[in-house]
Amino acid sequence: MRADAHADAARFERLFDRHAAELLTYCFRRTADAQLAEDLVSAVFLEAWRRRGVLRAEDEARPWLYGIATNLVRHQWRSRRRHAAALARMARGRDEGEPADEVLARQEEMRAVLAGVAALPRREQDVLALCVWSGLSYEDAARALGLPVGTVRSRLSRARRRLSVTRAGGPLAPRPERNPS
Amino acid sequence: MRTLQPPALPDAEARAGRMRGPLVAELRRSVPAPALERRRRRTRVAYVAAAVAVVAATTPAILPRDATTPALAVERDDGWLVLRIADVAAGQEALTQELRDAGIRGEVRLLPVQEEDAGTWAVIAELADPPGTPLPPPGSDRAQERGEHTVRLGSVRYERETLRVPVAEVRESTGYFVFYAGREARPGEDLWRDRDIVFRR
Repeated sequence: MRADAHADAARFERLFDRHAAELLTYCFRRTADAQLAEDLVSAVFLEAWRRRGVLRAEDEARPWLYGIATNLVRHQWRSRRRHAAALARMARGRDEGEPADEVLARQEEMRAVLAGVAALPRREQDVLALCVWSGLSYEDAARALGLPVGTVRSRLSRARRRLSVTRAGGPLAPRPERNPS
Repeated sequence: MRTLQPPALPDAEARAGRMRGPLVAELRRSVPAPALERRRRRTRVAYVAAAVAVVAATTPAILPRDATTPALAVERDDGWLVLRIADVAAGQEALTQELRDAGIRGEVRLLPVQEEDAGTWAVIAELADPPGTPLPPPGSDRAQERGEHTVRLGSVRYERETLRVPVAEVRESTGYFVFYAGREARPGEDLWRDRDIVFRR
């Protein structure tokens, strides 16, 4: 049994190596806060570890992790409280430097982007962030959100329509988008 | 000029590298001892069996919902219970169950609304008793209690996204809350209007 648990830990290290950086970027883009993004990604892996029994195959891990991240972003306060002790231990174990000017500039830039999409309903923001910002396929975004693929498509379509209206007089410039699927 | 493609986090790989050691240590730290792990596994089997029975009885089979994700987000905040609809597709039975799990006597009902209003709170009410409860005899103590102790609605803070219910009110009230939330109307279905809500005993 203990050997199984350690094998699970090794498997999670591989998952972390494969997906942590993209999840950091995802959480950063949802929060515009680099430090918060680190805490959220730590919480994603702690939560995934707690629920590792439901992960059947490693090729399902990416949408699964994005799904957990989306839920944690949505409930940031509760997410951080639930894992507060572990996050505090991990923060102590990390070599944290001062925030660089570049990070502050990106945070500022990201805040402006988030302000531009703030008018979208939360569920459309989720689909936009997963499909357009993170490049998940419609199918993977549907797995991440626990929705039918058709719902993901229609939400993304509505989000794009709303943004095109917003962009006409707002802060988001038009830009051709590739189909993520 | 900004675009839909937002900036990336600088040095994401390096940050992940710094996080890796403490996180792996934390995961390994939480690996349970063998006996405890066996006990947890048995408990999990029991939980799964019980959960399957409950879900089968209460959830429409067509909803592909992650049972670990709450339908109703409930947070405690300095003497308040903060309620937010996390997954309106879970249905009013699941939302009601989670409301009651949070210790609130009442129910959630869903109303057909426009798509952008789905998942938000529409209106709140408090009844003296759950619908269907027989009326107490006139002049009885029970009838007086209903008048004096059940109307706590004024202390519930109502916003589109959140309801804030004071914990003390939840503990003391003998009334029955009905919290209405929006769900996306089906094609051809009439949208809810304020005047549609009528409480019938």
